[in-house]
Amino acid sequence: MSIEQSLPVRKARRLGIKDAGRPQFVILLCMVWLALVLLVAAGADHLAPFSYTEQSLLNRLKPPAFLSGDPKYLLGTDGLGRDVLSRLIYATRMSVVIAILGSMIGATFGTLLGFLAAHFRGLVEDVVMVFVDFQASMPFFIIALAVLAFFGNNFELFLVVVGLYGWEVYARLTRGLVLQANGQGYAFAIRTLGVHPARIYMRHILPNILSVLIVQLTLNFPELILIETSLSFLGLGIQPPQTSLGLMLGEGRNYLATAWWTGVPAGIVIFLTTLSISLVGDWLRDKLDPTLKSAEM
Amino acid sequence: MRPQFILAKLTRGCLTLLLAVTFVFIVLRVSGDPVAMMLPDDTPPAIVAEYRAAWGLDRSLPEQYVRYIWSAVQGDLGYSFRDDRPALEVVLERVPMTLLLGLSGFAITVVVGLVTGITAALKRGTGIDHAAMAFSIFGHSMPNFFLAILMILLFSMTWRVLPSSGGATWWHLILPAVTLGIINAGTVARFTRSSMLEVLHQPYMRTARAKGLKLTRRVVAHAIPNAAIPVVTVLGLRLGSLIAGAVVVETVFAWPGIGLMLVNAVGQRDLPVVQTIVLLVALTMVLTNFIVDLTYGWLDPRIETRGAKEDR
Repeated sequence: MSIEQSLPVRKARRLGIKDAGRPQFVILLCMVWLALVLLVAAGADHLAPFSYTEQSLLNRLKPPAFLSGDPKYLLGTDGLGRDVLSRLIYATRMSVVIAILGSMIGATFGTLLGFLAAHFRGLVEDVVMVFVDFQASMPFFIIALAVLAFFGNNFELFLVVVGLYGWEVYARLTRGLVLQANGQGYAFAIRTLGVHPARIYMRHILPNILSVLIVQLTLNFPELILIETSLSFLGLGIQPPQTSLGLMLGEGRNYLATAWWTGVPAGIVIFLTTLSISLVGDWLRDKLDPTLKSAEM
Repeated sequence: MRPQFILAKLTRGCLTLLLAVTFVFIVLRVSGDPVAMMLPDDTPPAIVAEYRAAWGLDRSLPEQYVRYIWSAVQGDLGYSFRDDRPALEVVLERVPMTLLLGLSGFAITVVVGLVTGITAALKRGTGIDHAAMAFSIFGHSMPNFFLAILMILLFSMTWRVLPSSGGATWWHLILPAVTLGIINAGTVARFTRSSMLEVLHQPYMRTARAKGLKLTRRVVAHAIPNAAIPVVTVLGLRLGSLIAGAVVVETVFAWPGIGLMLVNAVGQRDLPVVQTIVLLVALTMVLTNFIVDLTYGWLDPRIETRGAKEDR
């Protein structure tokens, strides 16, 4: 999969980003949206007008307030009479929490393997790279589906499975960067002083390669949201009574003809969030541009 | 094309397939006793033991592993729990529908992606360029299932021009294929554009212009072949996303293909069908990667040597 990372592609990609001449205003809007999403996720308990499980069977499928519905339910109610706005707020929290925790899992796991491969070389490196190649050539979505099928679904397993998305990219990047750093003067100097390798890696090399890993994080994050919401949408991720943006849209699918508002808002939130992260990520990547070159191996 | 290059790629492909089979085997064994899962709880131990012997579960793990690989190679992947027919047979029945959807979606991706990307590169900095890039970002950020739902809302419910579920007629193909195609077209357009932009500024393009060649000829004969490699890479890499997308799109549009079957099988824990589909996907990916690699060698002979070096 080395060709995927080859210089022309990345360089071209950067060119493409710069040439689009994106106004800064849009980036600002995206940041505001992301801040809003985080705020909603953090303060869900205080912001939601109703509990996300509270049913009111007399008020089933009420249209949103702006479609001459009951002003009590700003975004209307779903098939069980639950307030769509409240569910949207809690679903946002669930999806954000999974995306953040999941990113940590994948980034930590992949980076660790990358360090191990670069430190031990030889057999360890070969084994890690074989798995990296395997992961890179199999669609992650299918593997995730298979694991969920074999082991059944529970929240912790789902979190780990979704989180592992993209670990192979971290592993490959880290291995390349560490190999390169190991050959540089500062690493050599510290090693000569007799410092323990773990300390060299954590205190000296990691801070030096962090910007590349952060860039990868911004690339990975929206895709992780898409994986989680896709699986939940198919009913194979987050299970009721819990809710996530994907599950909400999946449940809303049954009411498309009669009550589109039960699902579509969740889709809009997913779209705007992944869009914002991508744009802000591009912008961030441009900022961190010079270090990207060192990522090539 | 050098035989070492092909051999190295073939070895890598076989290794990936072996890993896929191993992965399924490990997951199968770790996730629980398949006999206990299939038989009712009050089955007499004698019958359970009989089943275990029949499935070879009483043998040692390495022996089971070898036997598992051997039967997988022969295409014996167990019986579907639901259909009571060989899982492979059940899955293969669905292949034509998925191929039809996948290839239609892929064709839309290629045509829309290339045309958008090339136009954007040629009209760089204009409104067309900005619109093309906005489309690209849209495709990249839009969840396929949400696009599918919006398509249904618009074309099936509001305008009532296209059917939203099933696979009975050609009309049923349009919405799922377009959904699948558009999602990936954005990324392809972006890569095509940037790849074209790099090429358009090369000295040989200036030479071609100085020779008095027409724009169409310069683009078709000089720019596109040179810009093609990153685009082929992207197209190859999009296959995984195409397969994942097909699973979701087939489910939303109730398209009777492998994706829908996989989602149902996961829901019903029909494990033989799940493992068959996983292995089939692995085989498809390996074959496609192989073809993409060969295409590189054909597009740019320089890559062969580079690739061979990396493979050691």
